[in-house]
Amino acid sequence: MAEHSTEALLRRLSRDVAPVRPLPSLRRLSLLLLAVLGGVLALEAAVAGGPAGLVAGAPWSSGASLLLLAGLALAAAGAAGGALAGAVPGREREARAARALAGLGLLVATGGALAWLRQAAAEPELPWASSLGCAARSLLLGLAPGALLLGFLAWGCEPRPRRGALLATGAAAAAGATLVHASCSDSGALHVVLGHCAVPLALAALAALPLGALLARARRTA
Amino acid sequence: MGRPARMQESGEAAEARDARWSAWMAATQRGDAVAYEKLLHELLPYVRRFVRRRVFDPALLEDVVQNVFLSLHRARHSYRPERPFSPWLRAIARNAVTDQLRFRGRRRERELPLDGAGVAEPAVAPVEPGDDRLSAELETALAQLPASQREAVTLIHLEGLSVAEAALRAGVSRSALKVRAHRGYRALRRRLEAGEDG
Repeated sequence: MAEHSTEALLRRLSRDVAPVRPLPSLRRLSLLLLAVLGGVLALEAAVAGGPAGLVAGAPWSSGASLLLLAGLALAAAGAAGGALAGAVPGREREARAARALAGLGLLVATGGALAWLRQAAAEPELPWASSLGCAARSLLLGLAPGALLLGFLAWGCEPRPRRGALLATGAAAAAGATLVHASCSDSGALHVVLGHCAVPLALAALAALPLGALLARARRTA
Repeated sequence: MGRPARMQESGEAAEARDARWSAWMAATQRGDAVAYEKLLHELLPYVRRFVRRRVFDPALLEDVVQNVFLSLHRARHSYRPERPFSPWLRAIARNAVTDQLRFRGRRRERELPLDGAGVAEPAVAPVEPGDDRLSAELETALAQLPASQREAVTLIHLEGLSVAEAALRAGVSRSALKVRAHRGYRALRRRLEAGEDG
């Protein structure tokens, strides 16, 4: 294509320019995300009958359970950071570091889940009903932070929308699962692994498929 | 002048340039067309150099440069004036180049060359003998479209631009471009179906 057409394009672009609202800083967004999580915590505390209900769960009883809790929290923080930083051009280094943190969190959580499976009493049959209940609660708790992250992704400039969606839904599910694991008093081996970890994360990965496609489509038609 | 002194000077010049671009981009975000025009024209040689280091096909170079500017235009809200400008610009340019090359790679895998000269073999399973005729027919049908429809179809379907980007490239409104592309697709389908029947 001829160079003069590039010059013509630049003239058209400068004529087309309209005021835009700049993206907020990552620090401000992180604070907003924390505030939303704080709101979710307050709501959860109200439902659980006070702040003591938030820490009434199994994790405090054993190292394996604490490892799972720490892994989920790390994964949530890393994935949220990866989603936020990935949507801002020039912040690739931070995005990579955050994604690595999320990966580390997943590894720690997997280690914690495996250790918990070995030490906790296994249920006589698969506890699907209670596990799905906890998984659904995890997703419900992660709904507001997830919506915030996805909204930012739609506004920002994530070059790989599917990856961004996976990070956002993963962060939301991991944050919800952290809260559920801290407060759930059912310490059955399979219930904890399925309901507090595997099922919410798997559902988040599934939800990322249509959401990522939507983000990619919005980017193409913008 | 010794080497360290020269390096310091070029470092200072780069900082001053970055500060100027940053100020112009901040003004652009407020809708200042004059600052934006200055910025785009000063960025042009920089972007061309950046793209030339990554794209070795001269026929593709100017397309990619234009895509970088379209991406920059779309992402101008993502710049924060307290951050350095060049890393932001380079990230946008890198993504635009990667997108374009990936898109062309995918297209090349789907399509067969009209003549084998200078074009790599597609990395796909063997294709039925009739398929190259289809590619030639498509090319012929595309060439028979009115120029405006051909441009719309090419920009959206073959170059993979979004409607907004294609509209900016063509210098028309989005709705006009959509209408042209839609008419173009319809005409292409008619011609290809007529070709199959005949």
